Amino acid sequence: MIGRFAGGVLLGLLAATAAQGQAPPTVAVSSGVEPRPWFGLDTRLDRPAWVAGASFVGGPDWGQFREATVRAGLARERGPFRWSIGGIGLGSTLGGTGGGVFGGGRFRMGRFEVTGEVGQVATVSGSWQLGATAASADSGRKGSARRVGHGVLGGQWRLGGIELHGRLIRRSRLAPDDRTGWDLGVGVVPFPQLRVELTAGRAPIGPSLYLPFRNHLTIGASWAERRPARKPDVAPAAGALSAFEVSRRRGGTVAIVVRVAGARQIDLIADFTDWTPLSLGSRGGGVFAVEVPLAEGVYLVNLRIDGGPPSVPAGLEGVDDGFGGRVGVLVVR
Amino acid sequence: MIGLLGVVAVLGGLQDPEPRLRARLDSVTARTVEAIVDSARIRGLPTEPLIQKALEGRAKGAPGPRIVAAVGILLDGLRRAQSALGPGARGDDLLAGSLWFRAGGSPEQLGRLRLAAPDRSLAVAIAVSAELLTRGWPPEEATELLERLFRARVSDSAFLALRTGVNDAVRGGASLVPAVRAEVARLVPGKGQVP
Repeated sequence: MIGRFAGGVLLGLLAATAAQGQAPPTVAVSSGVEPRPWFGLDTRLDRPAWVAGASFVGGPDWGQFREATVRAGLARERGPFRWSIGGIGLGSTLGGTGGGVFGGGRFRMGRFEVTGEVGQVATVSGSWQLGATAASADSGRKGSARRVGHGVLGGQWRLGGIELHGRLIRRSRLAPDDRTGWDLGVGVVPFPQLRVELTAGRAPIGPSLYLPFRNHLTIGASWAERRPARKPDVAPAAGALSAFEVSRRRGGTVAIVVRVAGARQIDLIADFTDWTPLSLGSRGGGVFAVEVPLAEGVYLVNLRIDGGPPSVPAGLEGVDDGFGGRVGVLVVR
Repeated sequence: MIGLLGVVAVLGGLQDPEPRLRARLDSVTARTVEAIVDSARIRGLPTEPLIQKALEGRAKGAPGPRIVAAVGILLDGLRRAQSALGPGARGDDLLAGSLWFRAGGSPEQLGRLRLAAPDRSLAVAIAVSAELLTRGWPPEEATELLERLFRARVSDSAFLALRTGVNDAVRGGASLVPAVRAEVARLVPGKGQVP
C-alpha cells in the first residue's frame, strides 16, 4: 500500500516537473547485499524554495525489512547555507505506519559539504479507525504507538570524479545496539549519471533511516537519471557558457540560475561574495542555482566552472577587470 | 540608549578598518591598499569598491603589485567620476562611471549625461552603456543617444531591455551599432538616428 503510494508520488513528481519544464528530480536506483539482497528507489527534488522526495527499500525477504517514505517541506538558501523543514510519511517499518517532522541544513564550502538533520516520527501498529454517530465523531487507533527521534550528521568531500562521504546517525527509543549508526563510503562518478560506490559501516541500508541497523559492506551502483526537461527554463546551450538568469524573489533575495552543459561544479565569485567562491547547487541537466540576498544595484561577477579560470557569465559581455581578464557587469533591479 | 550606541560607534571606529584585506592579502599589499582606501575615504569616495577590487585580484591570483595598480586605477576612475557627476553622486553611480572610463568614455561625456539627468541615478544606464562601449559602440554616439534617452525619461528597466534586445539582435546576426540604434529608436521613436 505504502509502496504503491511512494511510487505514485515519484511518478507525480516526474510528471509535474516535466510539465513545468524544470529540471527533473534526481532518481536513484540502488541495490546491494547485506548479506541479503536488497534494492532501493530514491527520488528527490531540491528547489530553491521547497523539497520533496520519496523512497522505497525492500528485498525478497520483505517480511524482515521494507520501508517506504515520502517527505515534503519548505527550503531556503542563503549563500552556502540551505535549510529545509517539513514532514515525513512512512509505512511498513518499525512495526507500523506513521509520520513525523524533520528539519535539516547544509553548508557548502568549496569541495566540502556538511549536512545535518534532526526529526522525529511516530508509528502505529495495527489500524486506525474512524467512527461517527449522529451526535459525535471520533477517531482513534488500535495497537501500540512508537516514537523515534533521529539525528544525522554527514559530510562529503569531492575531488574530481571521486566523492568521500560519511555520516553519523543517532536514534532514540530503539534497542541499545540500534541507537547509533555510522558509515563511510567512497563513490566514483565516471560521468554525471553513474555512481559506483563502496560503503561500509553499521547503518540502515538504502535510503532509509528507520530500518534496523546492519553491519554491512555494500558494493553497489546507482544511476541518477537526469532526464532533459521538455521545456528548458533557460535558453538551450550555445557554447560552453549557455545561460545565466537572474530573477528577483520575495524577501529581498535574487535567484541566480546558470546552465552549463556538462559542468560538474560551478562557483560564483563576485563583489557581493567578497570574491570568495559560492558554490551553486546542482539541479541536474547542467542547471545550477543559488539564491542570495541582493539589493538593487550594479555588481561585478565571474563564474568558475569545474575549478577553471574565472569566466564572464553568458549574456554579460563584461569589461576589463584590470587583471588581464574580464568581469561581468550584473545589474539587479 | 543613544549613549550606548555612541560608545559602540566609537569602539567600532577603533577596530581594524579593513580586516578583510589583512586576512586575504600579504602584509605589504594590504598596507598599500589600505593607504589608497584611506585616501579615498578622505576625499569622500566610496571605499568598498576599492576593497572589492583588491579581493578580486587576490581571488584571480594577481600578484601584489598588480593588485595595487588595479586599485589605484579604480581610485582614479572614482575620483574622475565624482568630478564629472558632482560631489553628491551615489556610490553606484561612481562605480558605473569608473566602468564608463575603463570602456573608453571620457569625463566630459559623463558630465553631459549628468546634465541630461540631474535628478536620477545613472548607474544602470551607464553600466549597460559601458558594456556596449567595450563591444564597439562609439562613446560620442553613445553619449548623444543616452542624452536623448534621459531627456525622454526612459526607465532603468528600459535600459536593461535595450541590452537584452541588442544581445538578441547580435545573436541573430546583426552588427552591434545598428542593433543599438534600432533599440534606441524603439524606445524613443524618431530619435534613434545617428546625430
